[in-house]
Amino acid sequence: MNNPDESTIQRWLKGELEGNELKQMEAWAEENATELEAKMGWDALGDEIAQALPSEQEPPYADFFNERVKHHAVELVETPPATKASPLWKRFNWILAPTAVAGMVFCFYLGTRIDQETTAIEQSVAVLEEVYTPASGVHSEVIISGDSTVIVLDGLDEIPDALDIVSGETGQGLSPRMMVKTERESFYF
Amino acid sequence: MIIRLFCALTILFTSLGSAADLGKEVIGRMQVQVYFATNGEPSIAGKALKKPSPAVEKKLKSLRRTSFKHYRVLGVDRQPVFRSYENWLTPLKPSEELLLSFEPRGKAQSGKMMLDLELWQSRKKIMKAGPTLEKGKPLYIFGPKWRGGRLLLAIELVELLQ
Amino acid sequence: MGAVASESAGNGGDGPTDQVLVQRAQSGDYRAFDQLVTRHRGKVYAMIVNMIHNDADAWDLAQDAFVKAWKALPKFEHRAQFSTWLFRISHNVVYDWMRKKKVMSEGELDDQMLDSSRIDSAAPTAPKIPARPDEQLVQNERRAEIEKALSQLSDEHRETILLREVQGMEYTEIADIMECSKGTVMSRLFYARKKLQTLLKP
Repeated sequence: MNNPDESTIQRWLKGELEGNELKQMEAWAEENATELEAKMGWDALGDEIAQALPSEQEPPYADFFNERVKHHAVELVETPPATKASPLWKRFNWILAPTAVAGMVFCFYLGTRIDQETTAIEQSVAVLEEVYTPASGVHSEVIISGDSTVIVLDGLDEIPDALDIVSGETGQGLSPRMMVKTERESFYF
Repeated sequence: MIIRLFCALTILFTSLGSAADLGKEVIGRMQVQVYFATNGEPSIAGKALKKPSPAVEKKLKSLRRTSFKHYRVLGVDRQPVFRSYENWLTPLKPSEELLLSFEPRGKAQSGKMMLDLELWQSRKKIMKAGPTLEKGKPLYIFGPKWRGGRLLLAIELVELLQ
Repeated sequence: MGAVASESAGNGGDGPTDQVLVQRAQSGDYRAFDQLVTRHRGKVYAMIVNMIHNDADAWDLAQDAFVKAWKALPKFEHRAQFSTWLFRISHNVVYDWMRKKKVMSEGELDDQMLDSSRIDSAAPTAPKIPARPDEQLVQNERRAEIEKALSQLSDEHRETILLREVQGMEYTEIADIMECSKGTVMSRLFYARKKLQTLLKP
């Protein structure tokens, strides 16, 4: 379509075009969107709308938001999302089973030789089932140190130096102790 | 006479009520100690803070390959473990900058208790874990940084009544 | 917008790109996906709030969108930007919700249905959401007029305006999100603009 006349444009804007005429008008509009906007005197109102309405707005209780997503995405599902098809070499993993059996027999033999100290470490290793850090940017590392289990949390916010926690100062916010667990879960997580 | 009767009935009904809620039975005691670990000047955390005992300090220094030079005790709290209710540890009381909530998961077995443990900093949950604790084996957590050092928590099941 | 995702897209120059995070998430790394949630939740939430004018339901729907995105991640093939794909999922979530609420209609909506003065921010489906700081802007009459005018458009027209004018998306992206042709985007956009000009005449 060459330049449509004013009547065609107005009919289009009113939603009155159909079929081929509509397709041609749409194609023309796509090529000449800027001109059409200027013709309509749209720019000023477009800018007003862009300024009046937020393009981005953090949801309330943002940490809780993330944790709820994780809860529904991962924790309520028994198996993680399917990964892509295995590469060819993984399809020969049938050979792993007999190898694994042989390995287990060997390890069992070794295990009968392991002393008390190692047994204590195995018990310590069993201390933790999972460590979950809800805040983004925070990650945990579990270290077995002798007979002790150590969790190292990295990426936490620093407690402000000015906050005198020894004297009893605390940051802002509603104390989670003030709520019963079920109520707290809906407020925080 | 009427007052005595009233008191007796109150005690009776209260005890009946408590007995009915087995969930509130105390099955153990949990403790958390918070230490300030730093390579700088330890008095920055507070001038009157005590050092841990030499044995404890040796233990704290052994936890990681890179240990801190100085340790000070910032606070301690000990609370009962209820059979079916969660409870809270507030080691820096009255500050709630660090809080721990805990609740047992099922019955203790072979001297060990599995717990749901949540660590809170500045009223935000920063960690959730499911440790199995036993007496004499604290769980250590290296937590947030503060005043050039780091807070280190030692969480321990100090008593198991089951 | 090109059809191939840009490697530099989505990170604002800070941290790994969306493409890197998506690849990690597709391998099962939920922390990578959590970073994507943090990065994109503001836009998704704002878009849904602007669409349905209900803070509490928008909060739930925004989460639904991310949960669906996580589950559909294996199917994401990096041919479009992650943000566009995420907006498409959000679009479907919102429309499913609207269908259930029986708000969808052929023509213009009843102007009472989504009147901004009927914002319900105390719905029991979500935590008690305090009055938004930007609720102050409701006092700005012009904003209230704009929201009221938008609420008088059909869902498709309103969404097209929001994606173009507020989110700044290209026509191709909008077509991708709304699963329609570019031509249809143009028709809806200019029709909605014309209608808004009439409604918002000074």
